[in-house]
Amino acid sequence: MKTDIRKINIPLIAGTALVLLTAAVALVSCFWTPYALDDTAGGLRLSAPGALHWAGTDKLGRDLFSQLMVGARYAILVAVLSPLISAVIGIPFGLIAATGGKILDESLSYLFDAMIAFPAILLAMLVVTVQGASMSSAILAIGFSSSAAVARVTRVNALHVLATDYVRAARASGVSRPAVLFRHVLPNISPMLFVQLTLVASGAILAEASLSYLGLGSPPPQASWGRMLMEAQSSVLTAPWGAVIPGCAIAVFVLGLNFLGDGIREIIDPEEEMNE
Amino acid sequence: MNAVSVKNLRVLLRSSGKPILDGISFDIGIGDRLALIGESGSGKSMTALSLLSLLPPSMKEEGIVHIGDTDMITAAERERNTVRGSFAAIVYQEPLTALDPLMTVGNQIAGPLKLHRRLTGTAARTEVFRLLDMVKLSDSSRIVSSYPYELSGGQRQRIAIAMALACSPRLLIADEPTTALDVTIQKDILALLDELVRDSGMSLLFITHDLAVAAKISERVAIMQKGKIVESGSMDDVLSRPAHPYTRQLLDAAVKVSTVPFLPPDSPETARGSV
Repeated sequence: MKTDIRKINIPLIAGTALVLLTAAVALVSCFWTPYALDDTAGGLRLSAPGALHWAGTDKLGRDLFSQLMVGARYAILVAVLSPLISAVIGIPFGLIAATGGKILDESLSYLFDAMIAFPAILLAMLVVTVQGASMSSAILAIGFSSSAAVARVTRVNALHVLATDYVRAARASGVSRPAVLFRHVLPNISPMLFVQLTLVASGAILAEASLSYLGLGSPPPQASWGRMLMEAQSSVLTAPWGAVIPGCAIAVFVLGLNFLGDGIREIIDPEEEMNE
Repeated sequence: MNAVSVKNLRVLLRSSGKPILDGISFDIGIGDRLALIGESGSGKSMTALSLLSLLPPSMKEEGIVHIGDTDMITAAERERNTVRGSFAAIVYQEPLTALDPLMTVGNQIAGPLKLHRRLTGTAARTEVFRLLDMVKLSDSSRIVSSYPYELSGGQRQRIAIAMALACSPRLLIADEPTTALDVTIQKDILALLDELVRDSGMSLLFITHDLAVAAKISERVAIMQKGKIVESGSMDDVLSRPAHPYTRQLLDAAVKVSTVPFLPPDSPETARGSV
């Protein structure tokens, strides 16, 4: 069984490649970009992509490709930290709901549903308004608003594992309730959680782009893909590449994360295995 | 002291107060056996769970349940956890799901050893091998590092038994331990349980829906229906002079099945439709 030659998992390979590509660009941007972010010396405003400026320049004459590279850095940051925050909040609450008895479970489940029903972008705007517009408050807001979905996935899968015979057997052999959670439940639900967290990551990229587009994300010296979109908006008819290129970057990274989630799901989905 | 002493045990649904178990009473002395028989939904497994206070949170239990010296209903959760595994252990019906799919067999058996006997490292490993020998698993060096999916149903059930026996319990609760197995494997597992219980002087609560299986393993029997024990006594008495109509129904059903002549599916009689 261990030596089974599985069919090639295309989403997993494609997803890993796209995510690694973004990560590599982000890494390179830490050491090298074609131009400095605030370099307007060329004076070429809204120039088309060419040999001098690979992705053209914006209305102040800054190099778009450099901005794109630095933007990848923040995209990676968002894609790592937002799911992390949602996991730190969502997993404990999901486990509490699954084990805390009927009343606690029902009230927490209503809370999760209410949070999911509440538009994430509104919640994020609320946090950003209170905290001030910055990358960290955007990440915090996105992580917080997606924690309800993580909690719900945790709860459902934990309930499933808690009802298995091996958990009952562990309980019958004297393993306490909390110990069962760490010994059996968390390891068994971790693949499902990982899939959910890749979805949170791709959602976070889109949410961060929206927030930046609304001017609620990272402030100007930092370059985020969403803010590049916003700045290109006024000249979208004369210089469409200013919007198309960061748009493509967002699409590629989100697609990569979604593929990655699909690829992992394909490995763990038992129905898929039965069909093989 | 009895291994188990249950008096007027009631299990109720918290929401509606509807009884699931209604006035169950029985005792199992040290080294004695009792077979609990009933159809699905009669409350056999619920009885097993309530003995160790492992009912789902939506239910509550009333009455008296003593496991050894411990009053399970009033005891603190800490005390109950000591009873579970070290005084009483359960073997479940479904060997497919009774083992954690992500844990090697060795680690799973070592779990209760660490918890109740503080055995770790080499001592635990030696003990794991002794337990695997006890349940007559050959090739134990391979099995120790295997994952459950790599093993057969019979092997898994033997491992589940080894886990239950890890802390030398005084009481073994076997909840339909042979139901999910092939008939030939059933026989082996039953013989193994019989031998282990006899050799160690354990008490046994054997739960089954199968009269024939129960008759092989226990001299005493209690028949359950709809959350109540409707008849109990020695196996001979109950089988030869069933007093309750439900017991007679059970017996009739068993007799009917065994009198149907067995024909292989491709025999000429089967083909002609004479059966």
